Amino acid sequence: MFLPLVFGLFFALPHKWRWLLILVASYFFYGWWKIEFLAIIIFSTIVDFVCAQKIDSSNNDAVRKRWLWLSLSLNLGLLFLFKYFYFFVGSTDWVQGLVHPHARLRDFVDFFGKALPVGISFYTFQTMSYTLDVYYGKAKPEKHLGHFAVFVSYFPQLVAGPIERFSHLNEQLKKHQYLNYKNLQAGFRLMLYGFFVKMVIADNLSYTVTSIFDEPTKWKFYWNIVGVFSFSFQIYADFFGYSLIAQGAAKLFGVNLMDNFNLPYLAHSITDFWKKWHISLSQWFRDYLYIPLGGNKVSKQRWVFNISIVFVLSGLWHGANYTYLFWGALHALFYLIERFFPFKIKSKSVAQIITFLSVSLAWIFFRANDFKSALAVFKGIFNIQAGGRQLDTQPFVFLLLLMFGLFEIYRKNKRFDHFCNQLNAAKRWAIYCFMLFCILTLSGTEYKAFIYFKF
Amino acid sequence: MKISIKHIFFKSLAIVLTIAISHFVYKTIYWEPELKDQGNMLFKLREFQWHNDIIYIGESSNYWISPADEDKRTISEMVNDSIEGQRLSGMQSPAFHAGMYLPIIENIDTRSRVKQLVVTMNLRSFGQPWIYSGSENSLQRTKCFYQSYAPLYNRMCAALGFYYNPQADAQEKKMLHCFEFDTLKVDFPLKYNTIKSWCDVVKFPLPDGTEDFPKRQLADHYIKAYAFQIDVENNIRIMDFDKIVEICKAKNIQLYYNILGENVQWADSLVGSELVYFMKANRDLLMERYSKKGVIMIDNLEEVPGDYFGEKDWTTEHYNQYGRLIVAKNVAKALNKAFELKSLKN
Repeated sequence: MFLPLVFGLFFALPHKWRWLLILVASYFFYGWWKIEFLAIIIFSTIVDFVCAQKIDSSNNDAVRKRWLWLSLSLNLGLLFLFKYFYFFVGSTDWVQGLVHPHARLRDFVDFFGKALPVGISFYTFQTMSYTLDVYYGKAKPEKHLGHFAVFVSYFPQLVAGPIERFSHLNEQLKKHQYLNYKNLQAGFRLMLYGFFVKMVIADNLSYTVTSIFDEPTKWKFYWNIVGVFSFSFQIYADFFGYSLIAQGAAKLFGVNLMDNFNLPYLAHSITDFWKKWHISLSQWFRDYLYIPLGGNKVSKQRWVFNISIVFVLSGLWHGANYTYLFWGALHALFYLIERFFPFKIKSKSVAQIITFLSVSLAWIFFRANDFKSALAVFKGIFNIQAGGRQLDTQPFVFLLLLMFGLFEIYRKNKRFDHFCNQLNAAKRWAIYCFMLFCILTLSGTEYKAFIYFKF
Repeated sequence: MKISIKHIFFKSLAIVLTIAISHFVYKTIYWEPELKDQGNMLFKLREFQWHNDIIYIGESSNYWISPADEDKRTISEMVNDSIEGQRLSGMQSPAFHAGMYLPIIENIDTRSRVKQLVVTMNLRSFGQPWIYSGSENSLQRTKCFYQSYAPLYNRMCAALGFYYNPQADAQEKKMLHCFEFDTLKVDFPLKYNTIKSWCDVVKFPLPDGTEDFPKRQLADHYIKAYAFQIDVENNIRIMDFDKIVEICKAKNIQLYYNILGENVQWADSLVGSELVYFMKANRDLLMERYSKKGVIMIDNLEEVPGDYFGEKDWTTEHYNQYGRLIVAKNVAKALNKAFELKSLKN
């Protein structure tokens, strides 16, 4: 009901009030999870709004730097407090021992172990990119707090991205939009495909993945292999599906969100993979961390350090767990091996397979609850001698996955709505009807939140 | 782009046809296996109601069997073996409560053979730990499959999360709030007026100066499970049981509420007679309320001795074979009595 209501009101209101509607809708959307966490997003908005103004108004580099550091430390401080503090500090024996006798202090520390504001990593990175852009002179600061607040909290991409740049999104948000059939058509197409990918592919794979990762020693070795590959596709379908729905919802209002994926499993190297997977995050790390650290215009040792730090931090960005950290480190290792490996693989298909296998291997650590479980899944793959049970899966799930894969390859890197434009009405509607049929009859019956919502 | 009426008509027709075909395919091919898996009680009801005079609806108390039991029959099977001239079958699902029984009972066909219904009334299900249980979310999802709408619609409600979807932490918060602030009002001196304050004073000191922690923990469970007073105006279970009465009246089904036996002996020895007072007071309230509404009440609250409970480290209604037999005999007695009266009338 939320989207149709906001959509209807948006086009019923005069242009000058639309930003207010979108802001109220976005805060309502976010507050629905937990109203208390609205305070964090409002605080973050005000901090970056003020800091960017101060940076822009000063010619003194030291002053500008001071405001930038204030913005960065407050944003990262919030992120640390809500996402990492409990894991790295609060839950340690030392801190727990210290706070245990004091009930109020203990409750305060434990609060950060339970409370994780939805999408905090996404909007914090988005606001930080704005302040950094203003500092580097890539963007002019927004003078209207309300418009800036809409940029930070824009509901279609608030909880799981894409992490948009100010220069790309803000102008679109401020532009006078007209009710446009083409936008509606594109929006509905993207959302339909997004729901299909999420509900039919990702949610159906979740049973296999959960069974394997929860009890890796229970099954015959080949089920562990199936489980690992299933997770590779589940996380792709889940996040890709969300991105499509976000793009579709924004398109209804005339806003184009950036593409977050570009057939990542057809990448022929780890470098290539990171150009195609979660593009908005990879670009963020490239522009605001890797390049400021010196990029590749430094010594070899320093470059290795830069690459390692970027990958490890991108792993940590996903959550407070050593498994994410290891996942990032593993990608850094693959990247460096690829770079320093003396032989280049000539066959593109072989390179694609090796890349896919490496990425899937790393996903084990991403998905597992802890190292022990990750190693158990890994060991299970090679435990050919051991017995184990058969997993009761539905073959149609893998058939649908195959169809989805082939369709993705066939449509190449064209966005789904653009791809549909090339087809005649009969073919287009055959695809829509097929997707609707699959969503209605073959989707998973259990509502599963998007995986990236927890980041 | 030009949009004509014809254009919109054909597009709408394609969507409607797809939905209609999806519904037909789902109902013909996928519904039965999915219902068996996700909404098992409705799946059973669809068959049972044509072959049984009585249906017994319950939770885990009906199927829990102790490993030491020689008699592996469930309560409903024991009842069926003890009644004359009538056939009874049982349906059960773990952690189910009146709110879950309600849509199942709504699905009983008035043309079916079922004319009597025994519904398990679990005293704990009226208390905060059950009302605000973490499993409520998954129960509500299951409930989607019991709705009396088109099966495809029910499926989509479950898949899209279109159901009352309480978050576990919010549930816990509400429960803890009740423990701290819901006051117990009695006409005799009670040192503690909330569950929290009661739990705080219960101690089990050991000779070495430490505390018997397992015992203390169990006592806490007993207090949390039974130290409440049913508020007939606001208790959600009361509302559900009331609705069941209305539905059964409308469907011309004689309703029996089977108040399950609780481990009163343990409650008394662990916590004391004050806790037993609350158990009995709630039982009396339910007996009176529903007898007046024409329900035949079966009171098993104090019937099962403490030794007949299968799990002694938790508050459950899981009985061994002797405990199940006691409950079954009482249910059968009530059913036989009603049957005899009916036969006499006829």
